[in-house]
Amino acid sequence: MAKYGMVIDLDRCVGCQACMVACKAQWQTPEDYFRTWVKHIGPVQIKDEMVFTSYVGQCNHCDNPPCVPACPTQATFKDTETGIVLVDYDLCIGCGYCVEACPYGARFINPVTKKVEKCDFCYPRLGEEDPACVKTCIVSAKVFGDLENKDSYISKKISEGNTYIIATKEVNPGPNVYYKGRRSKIEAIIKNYPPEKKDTLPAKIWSNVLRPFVILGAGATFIGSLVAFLFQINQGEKEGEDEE
Amino acid sequence: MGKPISRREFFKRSLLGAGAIGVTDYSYVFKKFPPGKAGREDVELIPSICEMCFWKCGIIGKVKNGRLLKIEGNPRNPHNGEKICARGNSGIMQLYDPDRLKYPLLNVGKRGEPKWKRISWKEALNRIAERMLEYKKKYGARSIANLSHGSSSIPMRKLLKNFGTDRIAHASFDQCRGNRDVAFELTFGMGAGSPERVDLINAKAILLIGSHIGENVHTSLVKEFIEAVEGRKAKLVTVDPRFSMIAGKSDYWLPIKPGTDTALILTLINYIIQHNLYDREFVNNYTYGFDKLKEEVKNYTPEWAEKITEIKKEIIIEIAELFGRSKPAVTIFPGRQSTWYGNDTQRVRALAILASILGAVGRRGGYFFPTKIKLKGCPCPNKIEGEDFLCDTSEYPFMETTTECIREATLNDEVKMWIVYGSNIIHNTPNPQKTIKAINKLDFMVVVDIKPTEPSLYADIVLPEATYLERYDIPFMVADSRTPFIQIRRPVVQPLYESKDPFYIVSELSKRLGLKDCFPCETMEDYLNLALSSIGTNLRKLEKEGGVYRYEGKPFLDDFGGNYRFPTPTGKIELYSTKLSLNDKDPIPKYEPVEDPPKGWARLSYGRSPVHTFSRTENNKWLHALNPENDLWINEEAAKSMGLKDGEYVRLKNQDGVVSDPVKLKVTPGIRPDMVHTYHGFGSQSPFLRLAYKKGMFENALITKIVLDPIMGGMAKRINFVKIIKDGKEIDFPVIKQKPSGFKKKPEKEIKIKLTAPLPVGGHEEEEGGC
Repeated sequence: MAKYGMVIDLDRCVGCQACMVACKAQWQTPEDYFRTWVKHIGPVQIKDEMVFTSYVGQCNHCDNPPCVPACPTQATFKDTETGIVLVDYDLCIGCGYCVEACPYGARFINPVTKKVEKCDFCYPRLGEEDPACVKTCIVSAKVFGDLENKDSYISKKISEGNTYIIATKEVNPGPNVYYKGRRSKIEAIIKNYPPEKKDTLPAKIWSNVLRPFVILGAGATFIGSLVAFLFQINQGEKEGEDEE
Repeated sequence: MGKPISRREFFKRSLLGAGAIGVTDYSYVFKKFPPGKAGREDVELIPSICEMCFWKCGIIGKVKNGRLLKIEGNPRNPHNGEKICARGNSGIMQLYDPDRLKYPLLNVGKRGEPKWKRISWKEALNRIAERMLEYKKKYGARSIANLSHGSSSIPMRKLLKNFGTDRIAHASFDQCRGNRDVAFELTFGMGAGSPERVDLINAKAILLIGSHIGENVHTSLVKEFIEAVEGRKAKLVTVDPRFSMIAGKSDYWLPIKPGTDTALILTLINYIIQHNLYDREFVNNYTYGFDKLKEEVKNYTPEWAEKITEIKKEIIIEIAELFGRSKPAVTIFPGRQSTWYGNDTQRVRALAILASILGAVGRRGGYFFPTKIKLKGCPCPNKIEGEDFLCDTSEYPFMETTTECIREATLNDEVKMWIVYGSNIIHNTPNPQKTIKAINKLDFMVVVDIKPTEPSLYADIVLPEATYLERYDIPFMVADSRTPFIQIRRPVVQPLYESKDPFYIVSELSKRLGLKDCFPCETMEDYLNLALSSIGTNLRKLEKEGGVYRYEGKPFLDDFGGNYRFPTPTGKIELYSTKLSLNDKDPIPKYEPVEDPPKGWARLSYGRSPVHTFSRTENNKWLHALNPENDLWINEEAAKSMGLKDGEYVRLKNQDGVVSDPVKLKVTPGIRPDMVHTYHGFGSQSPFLRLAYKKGMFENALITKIVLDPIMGGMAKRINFVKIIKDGKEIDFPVIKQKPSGFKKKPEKEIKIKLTAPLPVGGHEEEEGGC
C-alpha cells in the first residue's frame, strides 16, 4: 500500500507558474480554470521580516478528506491503493457539494463537462513519470513520491526538518502536501489563505434526505454509460486486460 | 468515507469517463489500459526549440494527427532538460491563437486605421520588391531601414545588407543589453553572452544589481541559480530598490536609491583594494591598469557611499568582506536590461572591474569563456556603399545603428521605407508618439509578424509569418555554455493558414531583387544540411538524435594551460580601457549623479512579468488567464498619505503631461517611496488582439524622456517621473526621508522532525520546535 504525497519547497519556488500551465496543458481545463495554483503573496511585513512568497497549492489528498462524505453519489473517493483522492466521472453529477466542503478551495465544476475537477496527482501517469507540474518545475521545488516508503526522496526531504502543512488547530483534515521554507512564508500563507472550516449542513441533507433520489439518478447515468460502452465494443474496440 | 474502489476498477470506469470530459491528451491513460481513440502509440514526439522568449530551450512537441497536443522540455537539451516555463508550456496557444495573422494583407484604408484587403503572396512580394528597387534607384539603398527582433529575422537582415543598407536596428540591443555587452567588450574583449556566461553553480557568493532573476524567467539560468542559492547555499546579495521575489531569498537585500548603483560598485572596488581582499596574482597576470584604478577609486569610501546610496556603511563593508573571502568563486551577475539612467555602460564596466579584481574571470564560480565552432552557411556578402553619418559616432564612439538613429533619419526624410520584422516597435520603444510621427512620414512600410500588433496597423503590407512551431530556422549554436551544443528548430506541425517561414519570404524576395546569389539554397532543409555538414552530420541524423549536437567546451583558464590572451588591445582585462581613453571617454568609471525626482513626483521603473515576454504574449489565452494586466507597485507609507488603496485604479501623468490608461495599484512595503514600478508589455493598442487590447497600462507611452548613453547610444529610460491622477485630480507624492538601510537575513531555528511524528502546523507559534 502506498500513500502518495508532495513536498513543495517555497524557498526554491520563484513563482513562475510553469506548473499551473503544464497542468492545464495536460488536462485541458477551460481558460480560467486551473487544477493547481500559484498565488503571489507580498511583499508584506510578517513580524520583523519582509516576505514575498508564492502559495503553491492543489488538492491535498487529505487523510480525512471532507469532500468524500460530502459527495452524495460516492463519486469522490479515497483510493485505497495510493491514498489519492479521485473522482469517478461516471458517478459525478456536478452538484458542487464537494467544492463547498473543501477547506482549500481545490475543486471546481468544469463549465464544459459540468463535472467536478481537481488535482489527482496525474493519476494516469502514475508509475511512469512524475505529475506534469513536478516534471516542468524549473527549480525542482515540487517533489512527488510515496510517503510510506521511508527510503523515498520525498521522505528524506520531509525528515530534513522545517516542514509544515497548511492547517490550523480548527481545520486539519490531514493534508498530504507538505511545505518547506522559511517559517514566515508559511505564516503568510496561513494568514492570507487559511483553510476554511466549512458548514457540513448541505452534506448532511444530502446523505439523509436526498441520497435515495440521487442513487436513482446515478443508476440512470450508469445505464447510459453502459449503453455507450456496449456501443464502443460494437465498434470493434475491446477493453484490454489490466496487466497488474 | 466512500466505498473503497481499486485502481483497476476505477480505470474501467474512467475509460468510459474520459471521452465524456473532453480531455484531448489522454495518451498516458491508455498505455497500460489499451486504447480508445486516443492511444499513446499515435502520438509523435518531435524535438524542436522554443521561442516564446529568446532563451531557446529545447522542447518536445507531442503531435497527433497533425495537431499539437502538448509541449514538454527536451531531456537531451543540456540546459533546460525536462523543464520549461509557463510561456514554453503555453506555446500551443500562440499556435492556435484565433487572432493570428492568416494571409498577406494590403492596407487600403488609413495608417493607424487600416482597412485590410487579402492579397496573394505573389502580389505582396511583387509590390514590396518594386518599392525597394524604386527607392534604391531614387534615394539609394540606405533609404530602406529594418527594425527587427528574433531568430527568424536573421535571413532578412542578411538580404538587406546584401541589398546595400546598414540601417538595421534591434531594440533588444540598443534598449536592453547593449551597454552591458559594449562594457564587457571594452573590458574583456567579448560580450557578456546570451545565456550569460556565469558559473553560478560553483559560486560561493553572488551579486545581483537590478536583476530580478525569476521574474525574467530564463529557464536554465533560474534553474542553476536556485540550485546555487538554495541547494548549495551560495551567499546572495541583491541590490534592488524593490523587494523582488529573489530579494526575498537573499542573504542581503540593499534597497538602494535609484541611480546610485555605480557609487556602490566603485566603493566595493575601493574597499577590496584598500583591504587587500583582491586576487593579487590574477590581477598581476591578467589585468591592465590596476594602479590607475587604485588611484582613481580611492575616494569612494563606505562613509561617502552611505550618503549617496542610502545603504548602511556597515552592510557595504560586510559585503566587500564576503566577496573578498569568497574569491574567486564570486558571480557578479552582468545583468541584462541595462539601459537605465544614461551612463550605464560605465556602471556595467564597474561590475566587470569588480569581478576582475576578485579573479572571478575564467575561474569556477565566476565568468567563463565561450567556445565557438565554425558552421558553413549560404554566402551573402554585405554590399553597403558609402558611410553612415547619421549616427554621430564622434559623440557616441561605440554606437551601432539604433532605433533612435532610424527614427531621426526618417523624420529628416532620409528614410522612405521600413521593414519591421518581428518587432513591436510601437510598444517596445520609448516615446511611441515620436515613432508614430516617423511612420507617418514614410512612403512605405512592411510588417512581418505572427500577430496583428500595433505596427501592423500602420503598415501598407502585412506578411503573416509561420510561428516557431511551424518552421525551420538557421542552426542555433549555444557557444555561451560550459557544455556547448548546436540545436535545430524544426516544424512541429505544418504552417497554418497561409503563413510562411522566413526562408520562403527572403528567398522569394531575393529572386525579385536580382540577388539570388545571396540564397543559392533552394529550401531551408538544404541550407541546414549545408551548415550541418561542417560538423559531419545532417538534418535527419540530428533529428533522430534528439535535435542536439554537443561538442567540447573550453570554459575556464585551466583549459588554456593558464596561458590565456584576452582579445583586447593589451591582451589583458582592461581595468583601464585603452579604447575609451583613445575616444576621450573616462577610461575608468566615475560616479556621476543622476537627476532626482522633483518634489511631488516619483520615478517610474519597469520590469518583467514571469509569465510574459515583453508585449509578445499578452494575447496568449493561457498566459492571459495567469496575468491579464500589469499593476503599479507603490510604497505603503506613500499610498497611505496620498489616500490610495490597494487594488484601486488610477492613472499616471508624466513630466511631459502624458496621461496613462488606468492601472491597478499594488500597495506594498516592498518598494521605496520615491518610485513606482510596473511590468512592461501590457496595454496593447491593437484592437485586433482581442484579449490584450487595452488591458493594463502601456508604460512606454509615459517614457517620453530619453538620454542616450555617451559611449554606445543606448536609450536610458528610468529617468521619467510621474504623478498619480485619481478621479481627475492630481496627487503629489509625499517626501519621505529614507534612513540608510540594508537588510540581512536572520538565521532560522532548525526544526528537526521524524517522519512519524506530527508535523508542525502552520501559523501556530506555540508548536514551534515541538516535534
